[in-house]
Amino acid sequence: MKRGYLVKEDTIIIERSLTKLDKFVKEFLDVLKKHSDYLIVSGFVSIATGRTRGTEDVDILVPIMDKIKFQELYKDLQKKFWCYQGETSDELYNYIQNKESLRFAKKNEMFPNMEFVPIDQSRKLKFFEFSNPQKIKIKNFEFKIPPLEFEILYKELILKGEKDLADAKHLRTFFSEIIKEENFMKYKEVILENGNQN
Amino acid sequence: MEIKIKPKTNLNYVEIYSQKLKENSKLFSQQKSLINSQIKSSKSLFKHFGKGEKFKQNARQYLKGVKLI
Repeated sequence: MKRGYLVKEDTIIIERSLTKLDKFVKEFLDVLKKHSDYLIVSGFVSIATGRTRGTEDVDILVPIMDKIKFQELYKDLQKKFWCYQGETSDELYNYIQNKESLRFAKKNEMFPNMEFVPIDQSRKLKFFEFSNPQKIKIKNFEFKIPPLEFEILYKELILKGEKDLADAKHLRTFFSEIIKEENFMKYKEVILENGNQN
Repeated sequence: MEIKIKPKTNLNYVEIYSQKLKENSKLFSQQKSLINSQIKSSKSLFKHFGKGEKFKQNARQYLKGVKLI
């Protein structure tokens, strides 16, 4: 029997084919990567690694960019996606400045959507995970997620919902051979110190 | 590795399934079916919103109604 995942150098490789959800995220990232760095967080991390549940949105952290850069990104995204919050780059940039999320879906479709979360150093936990990415690959789809131990603790200590605890249990079990106790200790401290200003 | 817990809670089932998935990647095909069918259903649910500008107009009205925007 072939195992569910393997680790090659610094990349976790999940041994499965792409779902429609993966293809949607990949299409968005193919555009975004040309303009900005990013980190995929939350539910999609668990789903991409085998958690069997549906989702309507995929959360992605994106560092706040200047207005011109955002205009260029939005122009590119508009070829395939539409934004829930508005039409013009100017009105959408107000959300970015206020650190409010934007949601993008494929043209003529409602779900799934990418929740584009603007971050800077003031959002300490988000900036921390963004600065410590883990590479993951499914076939030809490579993307970045938080360290597994961080993702697990964030769900257990901050989010704590039923769905989040189940996601954390999945990650703990599926990756039991590669998660490290010392990382749990290190990240727990960071999360507890900054949990109220995530 | 054989899991010896007797499932009682939702988390027990999650644990057992994740363990089996780790040992046998063929089980991913079940997950793929579920995710793909969710996306297919969602597409058909909003088909009547039309296309292009009409779609966006209807979609935003719906999203306001469910307080997503």
